[in-house]
Amino acid sequence: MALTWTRREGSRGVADLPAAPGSGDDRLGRLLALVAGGSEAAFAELYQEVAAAVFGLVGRVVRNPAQAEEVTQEVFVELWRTASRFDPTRGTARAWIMTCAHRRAVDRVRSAERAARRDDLAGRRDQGRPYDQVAEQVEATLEREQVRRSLDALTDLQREAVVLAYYGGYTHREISELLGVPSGTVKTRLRDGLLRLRDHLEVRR
Amino acid sequence: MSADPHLLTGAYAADALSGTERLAFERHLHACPPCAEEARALRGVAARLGAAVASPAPAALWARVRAEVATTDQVPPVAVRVGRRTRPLLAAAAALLVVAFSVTALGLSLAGGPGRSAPAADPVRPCSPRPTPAGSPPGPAGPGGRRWWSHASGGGRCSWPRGWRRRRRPGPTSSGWWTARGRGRPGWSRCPPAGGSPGCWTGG
Repeated sequence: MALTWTRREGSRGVADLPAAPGSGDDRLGRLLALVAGGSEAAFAELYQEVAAAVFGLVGRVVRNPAQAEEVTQEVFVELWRTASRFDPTRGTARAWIMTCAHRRAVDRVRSAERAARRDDLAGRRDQGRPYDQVAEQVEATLEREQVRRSLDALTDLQREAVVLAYYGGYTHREISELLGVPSGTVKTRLRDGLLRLRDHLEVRR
Repeated sequence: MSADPHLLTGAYAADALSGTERLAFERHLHACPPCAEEARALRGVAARLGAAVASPAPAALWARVRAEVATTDQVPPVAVRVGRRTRPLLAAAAALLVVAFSVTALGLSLAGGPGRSAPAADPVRPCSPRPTPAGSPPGPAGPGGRRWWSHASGGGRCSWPRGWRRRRRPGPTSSGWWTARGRGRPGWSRCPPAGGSPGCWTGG
């Protein structure tokens, strides 16, 4: 795949925000609260903070640079529109944003290309384990390295289920067809896999 | 749907459920605090999987996002003040309340209106308030730092969620506005037709 990733520059210049000490999630939560109040300055700051994460994830799922841009734009407009619905008691700001991004991306790939993608997947599975592609286009980061190691700690079935669902946008039924295991097994492997990832990532934090 | 919905937290967090399955599971989450807690944790894990493939967005994208946002209304907060533990249930109850109110209002409208076709001709939709523009005269200060909104979308009738209160103020273009965090009750707004006045509620 040949996505052309270009570096974004500029778009800063937000001077009227309060200082934001604390963790990134605290800061994102505060920014979301300001965005909910209609602050375009806070929205610019939020964009700066999470655009790469959103665009990277969306691009990974939709696998088409033009669509990745479209969906990323939809995601940020949705974040602007619904910022007031963010509820910090139900998860971190970053998780909320990434969930929104992931759902949009998944909805996009599930709409029209399902059959084509199945064929595509059969090809890709022959080329090796899908999670290798996680590392294909981004510069090395600690986060990526941690996630890669944590994926390595999963069983093959857990890893395949997690990667196909999260990075591939497949439903548990599709994964069950692709891997030739019952749908219930896919569901439990997804849960076991993510729980194990959580433990692994927490230990390594 | 699985016989045991508790096991769906992973598929939910990874968005591997179909649309109807997702909705059904979200209903289950309201009734199952341990599942909600696990789903919350696993969504955090999924977010880290997402962050691991971060990639700089194209420079031109921000300008397009900013331009679209400039013309996009924001949704109001759902002003339900409840405790942390009971939030899902009460939020569901609040949603029911809104529905019940809509039904009641529809019933009243049917009872008092000229005919059954009136609601269909005048569909009710959620109001689309937006924050008042910078530089507007401030609204009265309220306890807890109230936030003021104006309603910018014209046309038809819209419903306001519980917790939003209408206020009036004098002025040629400012006929009223709404505030969150009050103890208001659900209400209706009637906006001028789209294309006429830029909004039924301005200022604030």
